[in-house]
Amino acid sequence: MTRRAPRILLLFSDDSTLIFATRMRSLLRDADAPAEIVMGAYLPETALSDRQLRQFIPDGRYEILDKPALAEALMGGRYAAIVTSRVYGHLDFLLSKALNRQKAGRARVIAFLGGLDFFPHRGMRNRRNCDAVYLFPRSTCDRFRNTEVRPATPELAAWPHVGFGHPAFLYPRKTPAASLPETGDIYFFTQALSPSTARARLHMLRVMAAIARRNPDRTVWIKLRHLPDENTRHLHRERHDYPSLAEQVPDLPANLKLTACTMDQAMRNAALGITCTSTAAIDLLREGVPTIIHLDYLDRALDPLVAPMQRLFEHSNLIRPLEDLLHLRFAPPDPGWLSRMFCPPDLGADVLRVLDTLNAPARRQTAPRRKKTPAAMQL
Amino acid sequence: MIKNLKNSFLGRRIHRLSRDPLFGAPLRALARLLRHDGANPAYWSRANRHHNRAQRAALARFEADTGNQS
Repeated sequence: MTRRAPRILLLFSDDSTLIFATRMRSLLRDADAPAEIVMGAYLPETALSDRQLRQFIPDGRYEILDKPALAEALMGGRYAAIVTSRVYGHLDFLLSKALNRQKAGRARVIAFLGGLDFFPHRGMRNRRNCDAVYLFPRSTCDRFRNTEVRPATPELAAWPHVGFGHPAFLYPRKTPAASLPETGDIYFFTQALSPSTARARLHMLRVMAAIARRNPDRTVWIKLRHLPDENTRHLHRERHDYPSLAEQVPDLPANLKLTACTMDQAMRNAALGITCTSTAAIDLLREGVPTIIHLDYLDRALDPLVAPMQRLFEHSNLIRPLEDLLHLRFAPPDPGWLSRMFCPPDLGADVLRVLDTLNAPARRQTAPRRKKTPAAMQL
Repeated sequence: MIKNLKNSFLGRRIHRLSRDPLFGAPLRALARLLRHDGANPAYWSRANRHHNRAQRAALARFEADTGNQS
C-alpha cells in the first residue's frame, strides 16, 4: 500500500528559526522526496531582514501566517504536520485546549528545541502540549519524560512523544584529526556574554596574542559574532567588544587578526577552533574541526554561563586548562559523549516515522521505533 | 527580569527621571557605577583573586618561554 505524501509546514520567524527550518527541510526531503514541504513565516514575531530571507529562501517561496492563518494551518486539515523550533504563544494556546487537540484532521505539531539550551526548563514546559517533542542531549529527553509527559491511560497513549535530536546536531561525519593539521588557521570564537568582565576579555586577547607569537606560520583569528555597531538591540548585548579592547593592547602580533566572517567561512580553513561558552563548539565538532573549550579565564566565578557549559561538555574531553590551550594540546571528543549529544543522520526519516504513528488510528498507536543506526552511534 | 522591570511603572519612572535635566546626570552615573564589573562582590573575592593570579602567572610563564625560544 502506498502512503500519501505528507504535507508539512515548517514555521520560522527569525534567523535561528529560519536556519532550523531550512536544515529540517533538506533532511525531510532526503528522507522522503514526495513529501511536500511548505515554509511558513509567522508574521506576529517576524524579525528578518531582506538579506537573511534572500540568503536562506532565494526563491521567495513561503507562506505568511498571521494568528488566524496559523490556527487554520493547525485545524484546517491542509497539513499533516507543523514542524517548528519555537512554540509560539498562540500555537501553545491552541494546543492547550482539549477540543483542539482531539479534533480529527488536525495537523500534528512536532517541536524541536531552539538550539543548545543552557537552561532548558522553560523550553521543555512550552513544548508539553505538542504531539511530539525532539530534545537533546539524551539526559534532557529523560528529564522531559519524567516531568512533562502525560502517562498513558486506557483511552490515550502517553503524550507527547519524545524524540532525540536536532538538525544542527547530527552525528559528525568526519572524525577530528588527532594532531594539529599542518596547514590552516586558529580561530577563537567569541561570545557576547562570556567572559563577562573587561579584564577577563583582555586576558583572552593576550592569550590569543601569545598563541600567535608562538605560531608565526599561522594566523590566529578572533571571530566576532558581529561588528560593534551591529546587534545593538540584541538580547545578548556585548558590553566589552574585542575591537575596542584590542586598541588597549599595544603590541599585538601581526598574525593576530579580527574577523566578522560567517561560521562556514571560518570553518573552511580552521585547523583548530577555540571557544569559551560559545555554542560554536557544536558547529566545529559537527564539521570535524579539532576543538578546545576553555573555561578557566579570569573572573570565571562571575560568569553564569560557565557552570552550564561545564555541565553540558563534561566528559566530552574538550574542556582544557590554560596550559593545554597555550600549547594547543587538544583531544578528540569522547564517542560516548558525542552519541549522547548528537543524533543519527536519519533524523528526517525518524520525524516522518513519528508522524505516521501519530496519524495512525488511536488504537494502533505504539511508540515509534527508530531504525537501527551504526554501532558507533549507539551507546 | 530586566525586561519586566523596564516595562513596570517603576521602571518607566526611573527611565523618565534619567532624562531629567537636574537628576538625570547623577542617576545615569549611578547606573554606570552599578553596571561596572567591580559592582559584583565576587569580583573582589579571595578565591577569584587567587584564580586570576594563577591564570596570569601561567600566561606569563608561557610568554617568557616563547621569548626564550625566539
